[in-house]
Amino acid sequence: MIRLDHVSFQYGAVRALHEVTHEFSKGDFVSIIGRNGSGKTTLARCMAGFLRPQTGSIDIDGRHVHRMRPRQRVQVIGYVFQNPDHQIFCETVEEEVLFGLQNVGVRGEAARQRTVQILERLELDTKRELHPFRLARGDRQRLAIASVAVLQPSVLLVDEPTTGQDPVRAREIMDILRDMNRQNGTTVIVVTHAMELVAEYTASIVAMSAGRIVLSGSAREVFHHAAESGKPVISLPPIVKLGMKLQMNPVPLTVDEFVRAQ
Amino acid sequence: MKFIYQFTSRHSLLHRLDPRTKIALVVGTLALCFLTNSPWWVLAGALLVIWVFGGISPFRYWPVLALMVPLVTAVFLVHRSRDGLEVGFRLAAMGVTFLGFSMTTDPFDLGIALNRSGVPYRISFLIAFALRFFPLLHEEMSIIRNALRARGYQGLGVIALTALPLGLGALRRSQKIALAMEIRGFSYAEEMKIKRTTLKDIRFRPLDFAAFGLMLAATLLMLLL
Repeated sequence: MIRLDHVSFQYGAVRALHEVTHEFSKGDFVSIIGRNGSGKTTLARCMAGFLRPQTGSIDIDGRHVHRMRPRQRVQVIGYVFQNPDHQIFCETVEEEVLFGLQNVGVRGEAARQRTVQILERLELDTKRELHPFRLARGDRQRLAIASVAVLQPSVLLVDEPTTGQDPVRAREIMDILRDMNRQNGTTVIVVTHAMELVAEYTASIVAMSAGRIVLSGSAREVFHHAAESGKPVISLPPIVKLGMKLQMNPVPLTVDEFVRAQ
Repeated sequence: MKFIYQFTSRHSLLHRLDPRTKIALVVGTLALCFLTNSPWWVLAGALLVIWVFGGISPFRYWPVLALMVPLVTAVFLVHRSRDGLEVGFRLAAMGVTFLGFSMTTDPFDLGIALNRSGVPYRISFLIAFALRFFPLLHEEMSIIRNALRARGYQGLGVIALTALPLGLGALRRSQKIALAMEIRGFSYAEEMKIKRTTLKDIRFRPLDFAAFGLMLAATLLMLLL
């Protein structure tokens, strides 16, 4: 479980997070949503230990994130940045995946096995000898996920994984994250603007505005409250809006749900 | 994210000065640093000028000042004499002066001012552009370092490992920006041999001459003393 207790952070004079208090359940698949500048990425970076909040604390399974040693922290919480090109340091795809394992002291057959497994799982095994910058953008994004996921953290934070991806690739990436959540029990937290994917994939939502968590709960609850409040904190997916206009109960989250309800 | 050294638009006296005047003030301050045996007064003067005439309190850039403490101490410890202390304070005064310049000068105003002084447009624009994009590179560098930390890397090769993604990113971005600029007619004025116009009116005003005079007087006073 991740517990945020009155977390505040500011960049110079700009306050990015105001007294954020929240608990993320173990094994959950959560989306953090909100407009640009609402504090999503700052919150995620505080949780990953890159930014130290000025006040408040962040615990994962009872351990204070900012008191963990860096090598210990990466095995507890993984962070995939938005731009895959910021996360490429090696000459081949295989070396890129091995890089993190070597840093945390996993070597030999164990490292090789974990690398092979993750490359196969993310369908990058046929490209293992290629230079990462020769891969297509979607493949580089999957490689970035593979490079962090291979460390088998109990929590995986992914910053806008579908930005710049075509709809098919975006779905593939969300499928990978869902598999990791279901098969390994990894807690997956995705920072995203892709509301259709949020509705379809994630079990719960945290909506942020002006550095505060304004709504949280299941996708249906959050969309319902957002629509009721009338505040444009989040933009509802078109299928949810249509369901609400037709006064459907429960409100459909996906096209399939909509069709089944008819 | 905004870095301490980045320009913030204000209406202070320092902000309103022509960038060329500010360059002259920086050069004058550097000269003062070397002419005097008490560079701590130059440092104090620079801090005061930035505070009073630039409206930027030292508390806004205290991390830079805090970094100067070990620098001055290290130089002093190497020399173990008053000379060492003077060298340390000279470096600190120069650092604060450059910081004051970058915090109060819009890079594109500097580009226009250089162009008005006869520097070819492409070169003056290049300088302005490099200054404008430096904070972006800085931010990208901290993201890449965090990405290394996210993979458990703590070694000494951070700079070498950062170079590849940072360099490639900068190259890609510069290609895109060059294209975007050409699409908006960047080379048109030179090719058609027409005079380029600017929205901002950058020229010397009485305020600039007054600042020149004060700087000159201070330098002469220091020479006489």
